[in-house]
Amino acid sequence: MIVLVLPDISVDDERLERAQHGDQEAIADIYRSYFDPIYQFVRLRVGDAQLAEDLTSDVFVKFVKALKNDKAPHTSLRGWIFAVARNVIYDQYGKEPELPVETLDQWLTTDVDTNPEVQAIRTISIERARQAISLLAPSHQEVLMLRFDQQLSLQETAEIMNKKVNAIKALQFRAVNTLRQLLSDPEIDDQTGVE
Amino acid sequence: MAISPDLMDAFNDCIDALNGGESVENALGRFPAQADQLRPMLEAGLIFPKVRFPQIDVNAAQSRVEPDVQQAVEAIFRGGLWGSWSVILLVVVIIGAGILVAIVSNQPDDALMPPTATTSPTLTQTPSPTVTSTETSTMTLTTTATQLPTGTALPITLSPVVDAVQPVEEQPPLIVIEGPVEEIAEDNITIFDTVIEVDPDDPLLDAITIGDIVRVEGDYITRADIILLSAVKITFVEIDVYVDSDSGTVWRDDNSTCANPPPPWAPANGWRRRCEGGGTNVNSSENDDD
Repeated sequence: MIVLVLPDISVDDERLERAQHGDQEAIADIYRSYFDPIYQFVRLRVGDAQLAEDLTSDVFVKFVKALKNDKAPHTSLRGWIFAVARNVIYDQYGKEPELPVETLDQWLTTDVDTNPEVQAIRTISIERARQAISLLAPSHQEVLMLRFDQQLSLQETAEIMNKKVNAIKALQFRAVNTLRQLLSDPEIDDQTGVE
Repeated sequence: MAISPDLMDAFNDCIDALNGGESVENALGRFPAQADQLRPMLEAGLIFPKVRFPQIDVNAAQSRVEPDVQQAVEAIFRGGLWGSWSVILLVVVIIGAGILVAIVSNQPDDALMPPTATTSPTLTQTPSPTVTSTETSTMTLTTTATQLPTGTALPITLSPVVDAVQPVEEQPPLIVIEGPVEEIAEDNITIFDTVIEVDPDDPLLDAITIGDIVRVEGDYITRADIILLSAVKITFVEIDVYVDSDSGTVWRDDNSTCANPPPPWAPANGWRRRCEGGGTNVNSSENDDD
């Protein structure tokens, strides 16, 4: 499993404070720390690599502008920046975006493991997983991405999704069970048109 | 599927445990009675990290996006810091103005004259430790007692500090403000919301445009109960501007193009170096410090 390391919150706050004072190195540090998780989050949602780049760029430009206008957060940067990413996606697709089906083809070519056996296993796993994820409702995709992939806390996820903590708890429960059903659905390949 | 509150809480706790670095087995070990139900849920959720896009793709994307973000940083913080600097500036200006008012009010009516040793502000030199330098913007506000004639260079180094230097006897404080011109109205310009009166005969007044970064050296005057800053000297910080003393003609070099060649009377060595690859203007004996 790839372990995602998000910036430590105290380090985050210290960088953020320096960024608020126009420290460009601090802004660069924040960019380098958050590009990967934000890009992953956006790309998994929108599928298209070029669009994911553009939207991720928008997220960071908005962050810089917010610093200038003193609208950036003074704490909880990670929650804020994921919320911006979410809004950027919604601005692009509307509230209920559908993952473009053609992105499944791109997904199939993304595994770079050189071990043939692992490659085969992981290719199958990734295909099926991505197909199943693509069929989830956007809110289900989002909550599971934030909790399992981005490893955000329940509270952070609630703030980003603008819901109460208990609602997120229920949502992630429903989402994962829907995902289980999709993963076990023998017709999932036919539904997505892939293999 | 009916949602069991206990199972829902246990599932949530397991996610937190995984995010805290624990293994699936350790997380499930906390809920042995529900482990069989929780295991497939956790395994399903854990496919998300597996479908991450390869690092090589992410790194390539990061490299492509970085110039855009860097450009935004440079564009925004070129003037962006002025917002926060202006707060510091205004505080110091207000303090300075308050001190001046206090000095004036303590003087006899016929003593509207520069402060003396006995009435001068008791400011001490206090370099600010909280103001840090940046590559893109600097601001200096200096209160000093050295009254210099127009056109004379001040013994001030450009540095992002806010200093208050103890005035010398019988000299009015001199104020230096550097920043973007926000507004131009007749013979007034505004920097950091501070209205600065410029000599209407100063040819540079016609050369100033909104957005120019200028340094104004001047002093406070009281007019109709309003304290204004009266410019003694104006210097363009980021561009070269020359004035022909005979005709009053102004020439600006924005330091970016060669489309606007200088007239013979302008030293414009920066333009000549940039556009002609040469040195100083042989037609001018002035020193060009650009």
